[in-house]
Amino acid sequence: MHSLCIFQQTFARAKWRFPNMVASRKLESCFPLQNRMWGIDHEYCEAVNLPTRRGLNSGIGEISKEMKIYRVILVAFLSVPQGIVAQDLAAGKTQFVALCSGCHGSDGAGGEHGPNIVDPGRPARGGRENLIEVIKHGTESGMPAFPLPENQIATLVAYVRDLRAPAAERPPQGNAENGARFFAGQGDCTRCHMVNGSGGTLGPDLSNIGRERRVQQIEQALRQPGTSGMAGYQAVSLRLLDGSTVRGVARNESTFDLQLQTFETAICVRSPRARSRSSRASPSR
Amino acid sequence: MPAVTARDEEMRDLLAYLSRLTRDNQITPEIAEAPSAGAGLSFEQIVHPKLGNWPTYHGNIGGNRHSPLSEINTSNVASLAAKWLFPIPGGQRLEVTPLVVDGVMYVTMANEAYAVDAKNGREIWHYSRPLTSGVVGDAASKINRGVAVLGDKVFMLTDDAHMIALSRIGGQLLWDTQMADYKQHYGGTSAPLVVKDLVLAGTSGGDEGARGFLDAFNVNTGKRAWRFWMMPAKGEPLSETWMGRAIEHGCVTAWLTGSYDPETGLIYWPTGNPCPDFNGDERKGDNLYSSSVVALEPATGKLRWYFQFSPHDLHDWDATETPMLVNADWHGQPRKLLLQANRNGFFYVLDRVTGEFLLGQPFAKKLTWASGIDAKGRPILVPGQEPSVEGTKTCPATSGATNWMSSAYSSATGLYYVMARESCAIFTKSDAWWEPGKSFYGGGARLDPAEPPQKFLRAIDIQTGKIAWEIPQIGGGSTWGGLISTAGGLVFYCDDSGAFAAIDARNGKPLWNFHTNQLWHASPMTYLVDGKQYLAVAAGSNIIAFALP
Repeated sequence: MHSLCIFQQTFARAKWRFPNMVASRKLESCFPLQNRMWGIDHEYCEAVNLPTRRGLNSGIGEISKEMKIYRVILVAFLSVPQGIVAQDLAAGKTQFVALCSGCHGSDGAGGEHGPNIVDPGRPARGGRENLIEVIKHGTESGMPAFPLPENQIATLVAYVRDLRAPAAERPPQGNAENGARFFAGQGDCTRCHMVNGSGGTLGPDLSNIGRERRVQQIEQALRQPGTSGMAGYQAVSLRLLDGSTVRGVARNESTFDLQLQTFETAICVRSPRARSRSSRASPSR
Repeated sequence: MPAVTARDEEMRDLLAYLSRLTRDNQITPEIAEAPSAGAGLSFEQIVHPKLGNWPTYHGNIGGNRHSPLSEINTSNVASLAAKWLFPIPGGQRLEVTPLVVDGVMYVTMANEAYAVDAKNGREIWHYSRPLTSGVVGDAASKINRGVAVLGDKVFMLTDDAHMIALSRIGGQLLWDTQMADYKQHYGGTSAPLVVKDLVLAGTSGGDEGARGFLDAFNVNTGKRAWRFWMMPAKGEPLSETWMGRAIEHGCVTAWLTGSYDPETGLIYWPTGNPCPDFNGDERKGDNLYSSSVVALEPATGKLRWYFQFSPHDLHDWDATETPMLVNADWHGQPRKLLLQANRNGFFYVLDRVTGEFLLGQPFAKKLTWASGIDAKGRPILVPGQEPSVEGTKTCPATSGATNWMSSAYSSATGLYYVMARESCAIFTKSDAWWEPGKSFYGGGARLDPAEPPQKFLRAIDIQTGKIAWEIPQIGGGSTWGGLISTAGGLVFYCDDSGAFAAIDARNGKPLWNFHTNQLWHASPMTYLVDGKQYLAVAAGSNIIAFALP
């Protein structure tokens, strides 16, 4: 049985620039749903030199083959944001757990009955007045009204707004200039990420990340990559019918096809189709 | 993404940096070597597209929506079927024409761009930024008509009149240049056009008093190379064609994509109406270069020639309809032609090398404002057709005998195909003057309920301007869908009833239709992916693609 595998990075210490291969290549742990043969159904590529840094023209392809294994050192340093009275937030949290978490989840990130209300990507609904209105009167889409006393609503709203505050509104302590140097230097983040038009194209553009994500979300992405649910940026390796392997970023994926941006040629989308019907093409079936 | 290896302090600083990254507070990482533009689609591949690519707004940089594809033809079009659908949330009435390069389709609505797999409509990337509050005019209606591409970049306008470049690879923002201040009523709605190493576009705001221009930006840096003003400032040459106060808010915006001819080496860009639209009292004269086409040199933006279709326009008849560049025998002699069916109701043929007027014939039957076009190309006005305080009935109506919907010419039939509209309106004028945040019409126009407009697809013999045949359509008469012709002997058009339809390009015989039940605001295109021909069109909030079974 051949498989479509997702790279799982395990973590080990490595040098940062062109390190030797380290640790075991236990990269390809497979998702059961994706255990199928892939045949190239159609393929259309355009050879493009990736705009890479420091003259590494074949950079991404090469580097990906040596995709390194990195270690995480956990640290806990998040502090209570300035300007928020911890006591009020605690009271707001008690209310939130009692009234809201049943539908919206204990962290506000959405539950079976209610949507995510802490996503900074939906700023239009996040205003204080809007929140008060929604809590007081409910919504047409089914949320009931909570006719609470004004002071309780104020406490609850303060808590929800704190929950959903984008990172830029609650920036953690630290030296941002040093962080910028690490980002472009040792961290090698610009290989895949762009800020203000500079950097790579394989990962999401981070130019406005401070408004698009909460601090906790950014931290989680740094510490536990792959758990932040960024669709369209997953590194995959496809085993094809002819035995060859292509690697790249799965820009999109369905039960029937997959849009792969390969590491080797930047603008290349391949849509392999699962050959679930063909026993001839897939000896393992 | 690999996890980050960092000491506590480094991790803290990195998180501090990322948390503070916003569009208005950017610390650009210092990268030792600036990213190169890379290869990708060359300008040569835009001027002479690979079979099946549609790399510009009209597919053809000369503005003719005629495709050389013929897999779908008169013998098999009856079995054409919908293949996929791509909905764009928030795009209630898309005006975009998709571009397709090597199997990837690029579509937009205001401030949003998508790359999708052209074979199945699956999203590859999505770029978006919030809509701008305070934008006025057409740009406030979420209108965006599409992108331009070159190399590894995609270019589009934003609602607040910025030109932006995105990575074709991942949709990241590469540069962002403000063309003009949206608070001065500028906006962006059209698809840009790439000419060599420049990307060109004008703005919207052409009924709001924004002074029109065409801008050219370096594709790699976003730096402006030149600007061509479509009308003079007070005291400048040509201001003698603008006698009165209106020169301060005269409009003449270049709000639709122009065309380019590698043979003459010229850019052809059409211009909008003068303001106030319906009152000419404060802009006596011809109001150059309003309702015109200008021929410009790409390196400098220098004017080579101009032709004005509607001097001193009083009916909001922009000439922004596509200046279509065609090489054909003209009365037996090969000639480089420029064709345009104009909003004012006349079909024009010009020599595009010199700008010489060759032909001007009515293609609308309801046409009351001019009795014809004289030998120099100037309309022969019918007296008493100016808008008045009490109201004057004139045909065609404000939206014109055609508008910005696409048209096409087929050398196989010698016919020019256009979506025509028979309509009349009561035009009134007023003294209302320019105010911040408002349109600057100087009057108004309303349809006569007793005489509803009607759409026609008309096939025009370019040698004579005579209508060879027509398809009268049933509908409200106010849809905005265009057409294409193909080497398969077909014309595909957006019927006023909401159907997407195919007809025989020789005689207009209906061969196929598909009901979208939408009011059209966009024009179709066609492409190849994996060797198979598709058609695509935006209907409502969806892109719909068709192919043979």
